[in-house]
Amino acid sequence: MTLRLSHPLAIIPWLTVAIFLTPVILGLVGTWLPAFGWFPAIGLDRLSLAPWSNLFSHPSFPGALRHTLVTGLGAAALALVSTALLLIGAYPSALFSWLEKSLAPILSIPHAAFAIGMSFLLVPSGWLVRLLALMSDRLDRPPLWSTFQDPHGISLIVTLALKEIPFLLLMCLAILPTLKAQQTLWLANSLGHSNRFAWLWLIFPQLYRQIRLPFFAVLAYSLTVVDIAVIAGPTTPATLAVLITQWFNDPDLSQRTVGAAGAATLLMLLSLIMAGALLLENPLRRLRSHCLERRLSGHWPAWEKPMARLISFVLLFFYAAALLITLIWGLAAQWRYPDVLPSRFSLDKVAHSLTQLSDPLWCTLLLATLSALLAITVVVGCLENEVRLKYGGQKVRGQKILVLLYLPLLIPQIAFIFGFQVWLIRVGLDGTFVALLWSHLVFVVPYVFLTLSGPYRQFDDRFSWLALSLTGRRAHSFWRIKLIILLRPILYAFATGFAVSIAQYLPTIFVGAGRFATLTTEAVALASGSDRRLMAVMALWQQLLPLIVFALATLIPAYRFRHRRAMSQTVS
Amino acid sequence: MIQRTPFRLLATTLLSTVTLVGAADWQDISNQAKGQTVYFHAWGGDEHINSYIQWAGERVQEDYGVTVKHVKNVAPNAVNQVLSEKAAGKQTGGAVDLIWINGENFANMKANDLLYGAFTQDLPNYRLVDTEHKPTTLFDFTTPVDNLEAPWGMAQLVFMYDSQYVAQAPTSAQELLTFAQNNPGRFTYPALPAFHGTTFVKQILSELTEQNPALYAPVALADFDAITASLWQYLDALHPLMWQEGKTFTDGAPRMKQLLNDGEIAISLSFNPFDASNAIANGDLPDTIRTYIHRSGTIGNTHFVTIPYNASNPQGAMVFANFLMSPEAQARKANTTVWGDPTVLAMAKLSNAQRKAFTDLPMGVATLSNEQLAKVLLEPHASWVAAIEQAWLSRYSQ
Repeated sequence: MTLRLSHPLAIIPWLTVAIFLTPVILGLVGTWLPAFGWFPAIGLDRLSLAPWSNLFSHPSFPGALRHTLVTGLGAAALALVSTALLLIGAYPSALFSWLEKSLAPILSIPHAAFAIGMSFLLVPSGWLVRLLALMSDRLDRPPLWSTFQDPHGISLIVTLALKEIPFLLLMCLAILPTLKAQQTLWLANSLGHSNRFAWLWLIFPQLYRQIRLPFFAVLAYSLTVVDIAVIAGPTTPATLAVLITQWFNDPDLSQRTVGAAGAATLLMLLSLIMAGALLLENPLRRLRSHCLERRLSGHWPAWEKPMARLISFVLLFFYAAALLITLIWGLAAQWRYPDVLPSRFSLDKVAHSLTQLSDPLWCTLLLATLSALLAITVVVGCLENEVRLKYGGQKVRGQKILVLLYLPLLIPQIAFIFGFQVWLIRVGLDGTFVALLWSHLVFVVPYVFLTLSGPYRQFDDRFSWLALSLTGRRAHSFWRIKLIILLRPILYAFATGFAVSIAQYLPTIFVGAGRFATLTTEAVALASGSDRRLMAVMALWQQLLPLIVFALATLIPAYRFRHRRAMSQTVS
Repeated sequence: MIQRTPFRLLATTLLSTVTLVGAADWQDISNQAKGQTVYFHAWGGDEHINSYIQWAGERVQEDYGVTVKHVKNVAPNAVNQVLSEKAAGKQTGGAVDLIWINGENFANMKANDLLYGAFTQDLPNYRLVDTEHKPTTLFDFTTPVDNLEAPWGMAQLVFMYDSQYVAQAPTSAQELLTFAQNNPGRFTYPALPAFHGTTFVKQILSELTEQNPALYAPVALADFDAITASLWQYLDALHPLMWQEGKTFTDGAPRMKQLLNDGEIAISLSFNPFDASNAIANGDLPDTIRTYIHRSGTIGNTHFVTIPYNASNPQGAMVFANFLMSPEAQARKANTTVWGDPTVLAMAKLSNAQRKAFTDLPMGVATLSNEQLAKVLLEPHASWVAAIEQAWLSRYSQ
């Protein structure tokens, strides 16, 4: 293979993939070997299939697999369909722009905090039942209902979908302008077609191709999530990802080989599902053409609009309520059923957290800022290279490998963190800040790429040419024109990367070797206890930093472009 | 770990002469410890325990110049860290200096040569430990401790009930079943293999079989199905009467404490006899909560701290472990307004002043007396755990 390195940018995609995939590959090797019985540290030095037979014969395996498939596929499908309904029923509208403005605070809520908030709303002793109890005297004790953590996984599906819809919406919002969705809708309407017709037959087919990767990330997340599944999922058995985590944490060290086989199974399962989704695309496309030719689009009343309203309401209600409850718990001294509000309030927990948090706070800030900055630099480098190739008349071949960057999002963390850690120890890098930053970047870069690539590719290059022809300086046209016009999406991508870094738990604890405490490691530690008040305070801290950064990402461009009307809105 | 074995052999042979050489050794250890930073990996889920560890760290800084960093970790993560280092061949300079460890993890670390070696015989305060009357300080989870870990506190399975809803606490397995029949949905226990769940099931098994001697020998020697038949019969009857009809379980005792506060359940369990008093004192639970144990006694054991094989600062870790066993630290730990964790020390071995620090402690409204807590059941042999867990999962978690 000939690699043209005529331009310094040419190497960036290769370098990026090399740097950010190394941990994944090293990690996977370190996981797949134990899955085949190779784990010399505990005296297993002969390849065998025993871990696999132990996995398949484990009493909880079939049930866990069923739960994983039902909840994972269910949540991803529910999120995708809900997002589609929101778009059909409400894009563009006042409701939608309101939803759009709420996305930042919604996305900055930590997963676990949201799940805990949901649980406190829905459990039989939760807020909703307490409100009912105000009206009924038959609810003096929590009723024996099964409204959360149900054995079928419904509460897990709903919680996951609610967490994923905002992410999918954000991804769609970045892409819709490039598809000229607004204009397509006008055109379809003027030809006498409904909005539904325009979306289903004209916009979605193109949109899906663009959000395929984010959707796969959602799929992978739903199938491999641990923290939310522990809070909202079924327990007998739990989902496969939770079981795998248990095996990796089992006191019987040989169980780690079963965990490794489980992680490998989960990865293969995920690959199969994604391959299946890809294979289905063609038949579905043919089905679409068939339906279009036969005019089978149907003429049901426009139920998408009320549906979109309902979904927006449910979404905003649960997020607002989860946030409110977290806030109240943080200020509570004692709060029992059936009190709608705490019987006593106190600032003790907030005060206590302040004495504990100064070190973790700085470490978190430094890590998140550096990883978001580095990620932006790398991603912009890759995307600029793409622009260069486009106008150099070359095929954008090198760029294709960037798809590999998404690999870390598609692989369960627990499946490669352990192997990566072993390798880091071997080269003497474990417990260093650089290694920790590296491990964060593995997850931050793909999300930044996901958020930034759409708007960046959509940039109208004529601005750059004009600037170039006026100044004659490439750097000038890049720094003073392109980056400024793209300021909003870049800051948004920064905020996303920042939030992703803050959320990292396993890499921080393993790669950091316990040397670095962050808000998240402290929050997770306290979440293993029983004190909801302190858990709430920690969740608020965890949420505060991304919220500030998301707010800045919104406010800075608004201020910078306050005199420029065309720049005041990036999304039509 | 081969290179460590001679050391351990040496340490064991020296055990008998320890009183002679101990003092000199201790001087060496504390001299070397000066200036070391000990990374203490300990569960960080309770702010009171965290604060206590912070206090203890400040005290050893004052007395010995040892810095303690509390890594708020969960035990399996610390074990995983050590295991990764073993896998990478890192024989010295490990990231973990001291681990707060449970019996299962200890047994497995010991079996896989992941521990530093015998050290408690060199610690002056170890001599104050009540090894005579608290046999679990010598056998952790039925595994011989062999001076590989330092006793830190005593644990015993206790039940907590809400006296607002429960007039008479059930004090046996059978009475608990009757309670569940009269109050469906108001009791649960954590799903196995969570530690508290396993302990509860072992407790029921001990009670129903009236502590069948076979439980205290390797499970391979016993007729497992015959001995556990009554257990499964009992659980089959209990589960439909439990919280969420036994279809959903909690993941551990902390979550059960929340359910108790919420009123979803009326009986919960804990492994710390002072837990309820402590939780009432800090507002985690209402003051209507009381503690009880079953008439036949309940399973009890000891929790420990240990040093991994490749610790960077083993001397510092020993100095800290020694301080944690000191009368000063143990008395403070037993105070329910600080932590409320029973001491491992023998009162008879203490000076009058030291003893007074313990007798002066406030009792707490929900604490049982020492007499009430006197009946301690031994853990079944460690090999029973895996068999019980496997059978439980086959029956109830498919």
